[in-house]
Amino acid sequence: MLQVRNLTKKFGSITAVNKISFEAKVGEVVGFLGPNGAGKTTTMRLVTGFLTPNEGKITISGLPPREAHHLVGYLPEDNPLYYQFTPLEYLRFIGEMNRLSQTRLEKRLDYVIRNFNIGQVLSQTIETLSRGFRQRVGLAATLIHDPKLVLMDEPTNGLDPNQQLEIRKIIKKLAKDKAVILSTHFLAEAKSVCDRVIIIHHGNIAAEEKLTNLKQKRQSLVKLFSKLTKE
Amino acid sequence: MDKKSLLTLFKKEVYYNYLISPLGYIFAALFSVISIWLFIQDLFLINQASLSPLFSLFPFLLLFFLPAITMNLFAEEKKSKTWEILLTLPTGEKEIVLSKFLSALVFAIFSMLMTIPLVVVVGILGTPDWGTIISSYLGVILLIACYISLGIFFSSLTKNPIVSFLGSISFLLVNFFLGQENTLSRLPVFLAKIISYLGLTFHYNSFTQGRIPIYSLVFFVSWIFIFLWLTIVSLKSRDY
Repeated sequence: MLQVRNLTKKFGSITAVNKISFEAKVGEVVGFLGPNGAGKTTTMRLVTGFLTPNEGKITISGLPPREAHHLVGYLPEDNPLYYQFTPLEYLRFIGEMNRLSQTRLEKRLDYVIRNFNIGQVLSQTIETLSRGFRQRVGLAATLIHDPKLVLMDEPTNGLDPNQQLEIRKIIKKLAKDKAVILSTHFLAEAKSVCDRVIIIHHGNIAAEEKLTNLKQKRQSLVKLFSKLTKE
Repeated sequence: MDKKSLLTLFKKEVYYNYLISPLGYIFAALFSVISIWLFIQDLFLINQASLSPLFSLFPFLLLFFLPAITMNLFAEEKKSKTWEILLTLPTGEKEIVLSKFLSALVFAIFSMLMTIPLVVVVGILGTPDWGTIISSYLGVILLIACYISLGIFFSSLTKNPIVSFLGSISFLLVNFFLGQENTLSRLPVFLAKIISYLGLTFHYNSFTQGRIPIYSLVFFVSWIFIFLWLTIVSLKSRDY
């Protein structure tokens, strides 16, 4: 689904991402772990085509990122939304931009509204919603066009423990027919939802491990993370 | 150019920025009240059924009004990070910039239509030159398009709408004063000619005098094209 080869991104003299390569397949959840400023967000922005790499190649189902927007669902960091829209207006806008036909859009609206349980807030403006509801609206918009690749930048940041659990359940459910990449600095979250973790530090991949392998090796993710990312 | 996404973006811009936002209504109301008030004052002072005093007000009046509606167009998207959503939708920078430009233009033209009752008043009170009125309105529309394209460019440079607002006003004020007689008269003739040609008011004045010179049309269209292109470049520079 997603192939990344030797990806490098520089901002002036700073190398934010340094020759990283990885893949993501349909049916798996890949976790990007790393301290703040490690390069997780930059990598996501490169994969979505928001930024262009200095070197390297990204293909999504064989297409370069800017031609594959319709295949990708992206929940950026801090869940930006158009606050003056109601959730219904916002979801319609995102759906129409993704060229869903009217019938398909109605079906998908019905699906995301039911699955994210946002039926009762559809006519309120987004600015009046609680953080948890806003996050659900953001996720619903990310999935309105049924993308094959889903990228989520710290999707549970700022949520209370119940809301975090709820979002994690949704992420697990998603992975059945999609490739999911999420960035987080909650190691417990990575352990509970990810199949594989990629630890990024100073723009480099410090480690890439399947969680089942770590279990077999009786290695702790917390210890591995702190060993690799200690300054 | 993807027309379908341009239309969806255009509808979103009009609805989001002008129909559900109080800014649009405040702008339209304030603009028409000030225009009508200034026009009526002049009407009785010069005792002539003419719209030219109104048209001569527009370059200065719009210089403050239009940056107020363009200041948010990109600055707000950057500040609230929604531009990350916008730029990862299946569309391009061209469509995004054009949708913002066209929606602001349509909205400003709509606000301008509020001055139509004044045309009716002038028509009833005297025998105005209808050709000049039509060319003047065309001039106003082109002037609005130029101000908006510049305003959008300044909005794309910053996250702060106030910086965008003040930047646009400063640029337009300098351009406005460059075209004024009292500035030009202090300069050598050849320089004054070149500088006056660069001022929007110089070209606009031809339209309000009932003339539509090709070179002025070219100037207006080039201005719009250049600033929209610069906005696209500015959006693409997010990589650096």
